[in-house]
Amino acid sequence: MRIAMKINGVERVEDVDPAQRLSTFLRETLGLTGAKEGCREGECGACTVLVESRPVNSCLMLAFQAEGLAVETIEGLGRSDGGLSPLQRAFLDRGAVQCGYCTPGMIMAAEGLLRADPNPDEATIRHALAGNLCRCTGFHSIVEAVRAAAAAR
Amino acid sequence: MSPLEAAAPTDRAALAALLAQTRGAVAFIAGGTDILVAPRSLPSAGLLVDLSRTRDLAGVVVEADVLRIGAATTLAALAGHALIRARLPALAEAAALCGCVQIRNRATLGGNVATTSAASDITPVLACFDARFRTLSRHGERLLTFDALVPAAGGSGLAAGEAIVAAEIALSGRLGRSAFAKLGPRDDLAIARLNLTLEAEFDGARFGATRLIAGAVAPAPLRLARAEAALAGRTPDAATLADFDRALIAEIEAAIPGRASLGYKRRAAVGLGRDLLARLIGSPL
Repeated sequence: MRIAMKINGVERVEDVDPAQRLSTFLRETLGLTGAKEGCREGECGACTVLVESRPVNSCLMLAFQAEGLAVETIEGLGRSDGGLSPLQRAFLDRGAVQCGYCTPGMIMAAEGLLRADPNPDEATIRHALAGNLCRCTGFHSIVEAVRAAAAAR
Repeated sequence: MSPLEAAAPTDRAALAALLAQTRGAVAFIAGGTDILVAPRSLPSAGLLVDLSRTRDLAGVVVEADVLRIGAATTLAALAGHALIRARLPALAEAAALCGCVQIRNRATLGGNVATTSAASDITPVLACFDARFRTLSRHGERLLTFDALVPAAGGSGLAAGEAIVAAEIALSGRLGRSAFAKLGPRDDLAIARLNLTLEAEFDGARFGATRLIAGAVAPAPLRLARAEAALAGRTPDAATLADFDRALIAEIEAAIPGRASLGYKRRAAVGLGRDLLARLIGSPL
């Protein structure tokens, strides 16, 4: 089936299989491999993208369900000149990236939080990131990075 | 190409027309947060209908003192809805404790009920509020009681090709206060090991009528009548609390005799029960 959606601000018209997950579509059809299919059951959050500015697990959504919607991935978060967004920069500056596997999902979940709540306290940040697992266990630095990014906005 | 076809009706009328004209197998997907988790699987053939973008299946309205919640209303929307937080706080609390932000942004009320999970957080609250359900299929609309849609023995009262389109809760006659509490392996993203929903009259000194429902101890939400009786008409003093504790333990023992989880669920029920009472009363016990 053919669907139209906006991916990182660009209108796309693509053929998808009705049973194809959004995560698989992003990675294999569009080559947007930032979102990771870590668990495919909504436990790890590594596949987090924004749909209509809200964080969702792209592994638990079919691609055709995104028709007509705006999908944002980590690849679309940077500045138009190719530089990092302030949130991405804060992750680097605060040492919030270790192996990096969880980082795209973690940043997209944090981006969704900051759009809805520009000044979250620590408890709110931790609650918002509860669906994202970092197996390097670097949660403290991640929370610090989100706080720093919020303060700089 | 897959023999599975997909459709996304834009409104309820389009959904009704689609179902009326479809003769083969029909399956539904809404948020997808349950059906896409292994070992469940999508059908390999037939028509898959996406309800997540059916406009008038999402949202909350009040008509003639009945609260109607569209089946495609997300748990995030339920958790943040001002009227639900004010009038049916147990429902907002249960929705806020489901999954994580990503899950709540997609999971829907209808999906949570239709999956018939014994560990559902939303279904016991709907049982407590004696919700009714409107459904739609190629044969038209039905209005089902809670027990008809969610049989005590488990399973679902939905027919093949039938979708939930709304839950309805009468606002008149509510008992005044309600609360939800849940025990899971961790604070977030946890499937309930036990949950309790309490709705009660409390005039500041004495309980009136109460309804207490347990989830995750039976195939369907279980009403705990003995524990309700331990509260009715009494003040929340030490004797009442002791009777309430004993009744909760007896209810759990009767629900899951011999189950390995009985030991901790017996104690957990008491803890959750006391949490609920404290929140209803508005002060520590």
